[in-house]
Amino acid sequence: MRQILSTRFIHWKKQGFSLTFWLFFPLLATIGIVMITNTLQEDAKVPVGLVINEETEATSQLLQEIKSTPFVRVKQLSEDDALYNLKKHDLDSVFVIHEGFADKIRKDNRSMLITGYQSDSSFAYAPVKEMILSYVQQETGRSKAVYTVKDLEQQYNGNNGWTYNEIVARSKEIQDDENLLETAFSFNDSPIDNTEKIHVFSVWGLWAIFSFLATLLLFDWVIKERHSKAIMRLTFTQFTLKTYLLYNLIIYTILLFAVDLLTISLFYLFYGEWISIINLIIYRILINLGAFLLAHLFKKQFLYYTISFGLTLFLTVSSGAVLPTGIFTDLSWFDFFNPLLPLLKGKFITLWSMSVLFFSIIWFFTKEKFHA
Amino acid sequence: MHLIKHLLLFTQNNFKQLKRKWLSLPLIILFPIILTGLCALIAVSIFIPDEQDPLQIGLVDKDKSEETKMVVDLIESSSQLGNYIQINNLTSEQADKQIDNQLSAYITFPKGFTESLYNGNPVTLHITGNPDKRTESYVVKELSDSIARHIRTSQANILTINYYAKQLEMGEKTRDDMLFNQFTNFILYTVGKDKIIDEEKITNNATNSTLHYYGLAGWFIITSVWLLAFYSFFTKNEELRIKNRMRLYGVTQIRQILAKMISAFTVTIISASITFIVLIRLTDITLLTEDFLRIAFIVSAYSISFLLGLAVLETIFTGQKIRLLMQSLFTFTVILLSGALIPTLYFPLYLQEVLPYSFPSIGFHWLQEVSLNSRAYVDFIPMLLLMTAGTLVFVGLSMWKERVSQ
Repeated sequence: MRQILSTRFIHWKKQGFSLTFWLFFPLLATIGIVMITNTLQEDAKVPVGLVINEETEATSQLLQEIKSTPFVRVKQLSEDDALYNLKKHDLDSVFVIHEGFADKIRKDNRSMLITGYQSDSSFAYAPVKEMILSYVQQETGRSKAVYTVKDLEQQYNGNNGWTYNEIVARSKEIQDDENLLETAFSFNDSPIDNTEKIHVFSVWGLWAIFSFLATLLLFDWVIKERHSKAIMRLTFTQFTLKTYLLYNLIIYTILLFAVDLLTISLFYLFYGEWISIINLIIYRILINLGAFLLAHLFKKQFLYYTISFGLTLFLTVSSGAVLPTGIFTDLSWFDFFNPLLPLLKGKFITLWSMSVLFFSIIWFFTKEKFHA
Repeated sequence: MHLIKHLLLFTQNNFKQLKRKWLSLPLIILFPIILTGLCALIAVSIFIPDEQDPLQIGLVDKDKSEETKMVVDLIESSSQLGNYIQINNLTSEQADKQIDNQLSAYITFPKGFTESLYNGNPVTLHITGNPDKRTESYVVKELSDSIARHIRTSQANILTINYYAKQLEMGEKTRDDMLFNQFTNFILYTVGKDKIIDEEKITNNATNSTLHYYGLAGWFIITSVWLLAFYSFFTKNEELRIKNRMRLYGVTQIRQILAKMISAFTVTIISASITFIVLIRLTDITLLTEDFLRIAFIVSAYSISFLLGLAVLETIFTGQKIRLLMQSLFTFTVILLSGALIPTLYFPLYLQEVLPYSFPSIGFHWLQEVSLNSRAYVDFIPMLLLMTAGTLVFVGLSMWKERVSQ
């Protein structure tokens, strides 16, 4: 065993840079992508056109509120320009505030205050519309409250002479001062703090895919060893080819697992995401065995690399670890083959794991090729 | 003259290799198509939720006061949200059990909700999501955020009414009844919020529809992936001795790479034109001959620039694995920048400034204009400039590398 370890170290000294790169690639790539998507998500905005047909305090307030929404970029245009841009698909949607906006609100008349235009490739029309509606609804709701109070005043013969503005101001005060209603979001197993950002991609899903790729690429030593000229010399040592490969497999598993533990601690520090260690152990063992067996099928390294990239791409799209799967939630046909399941969901007995174990047992009992 | 002879030799070699390994040809051609098809299916199923399989949301009412019961009944029976969302009234235990499979999320009204609402105390609505259905849970979160916003404003208004009512001579019971009335009124008021807006949809039948846009974008992505695949297919890793021998004959690395580019370009152009004609027939876009010529030019210029990028990466990185990684990253960035995945409209502003200088966005933009918007003019100059710049970079790097390795 010690001899194999020293042989491996000699190899690693030569491949030092490549080895360290691929060992830390999943970790760095996951962190990089999460950071990039978070920054881009903050800056990615929907361009919306606003047409304001009258200049009153109410409309300019509304304009300010809409401009301060984080995910919208507002362009103020004339009606013709805005509609023209919408047709050219330069704008996502257009909202026109009609004349008489302030008056109508004051009179508690809220029908047809705004016209909204969407084109057939508008993605964000519904959320933007909801947002604008909620702002306008605030104003009209306050107006309605004023009329209710005035009605009550008349009903009970009070003569306090509350003005419209006074009541509206009181309503705003209550809304600002008192922290009235909050929503708290959490998943069943891991409670997420509401103030923390919710990532677009699941961190463990990303890491699982990248570590799948890195493992496949790191296991090219199998191809190199099996097809090198020097391997025949093994017959004159105490090792058979199979034990040699097996010992190397164990060395690589321990190395990769050490890096995995480092990854878990770093992810917990940065993102507060934890995963059970048993899942990780089983995932690592299965992935290593899978890569080991797959590498036996290839003679040329380049073909093996391209196939690993292709497999990873296929896995990204169909496994739903990174992209959300819409159709496959019920059928889950891919769950039979999904290598990522043991990590992400803790389901150990799948077709994938059973076949990997089956083939490794077969490999273990094949006949030796070289005899002294 | 030697240049042309060598180029011809290598190109012939490449095509012979293609003929020998003709079995892998369908695999390479089909792989991007299958992948893009899968992506398209996923995208379609996100944006057009399945009507047979509505979003399941649960409501747990721990308060059990009249108001919450009324609100829950109202929400449950209102068909305002359409067939996409189905809301069920559940008990706490049922919700816990169902959260792991069918429910996308459930909302809990905590005990003492209504009391706190009337007295102006802070209250928190808990939304628990299903970790298996992440995107749908976020939709529910957005929905409940907007509901909370509406309730917040209504609550402020009710409290205002309460404040002024306390100053009038009203009996306590009458005031409570009136508050309850107001509560109902405001709920109905919120439900009727759509009166405010008059919605219109503008469709521009002369220009593109979403289907055409995504069909074209898909074809564009498939062509780029084919370029990468065929380029890698023709890559051979020769041993050191053969490389030395070739250098003795005056063959530089540049000629091999150029030959690779030519062969990959030819094969991709053939397959891409076939698929493009199929696409045009399927989507009923009418194009004239000159449009075809323009499209051919745009696509050729784009492919050559793309292949030049791949070649530059090949010259820089000698390790096979890293080279493959960088080339895939390059392909992905190119596809992203072109706007085929996400329309460039939604990019952040600082990215949008870079776009006029990048060949993928220019290429895709003109492709769109000519085929979907029936534009008769194409500005060739930016693409030509970028192509020349790319060629110069490539030739310079390659010659520098030859010198250094000698």
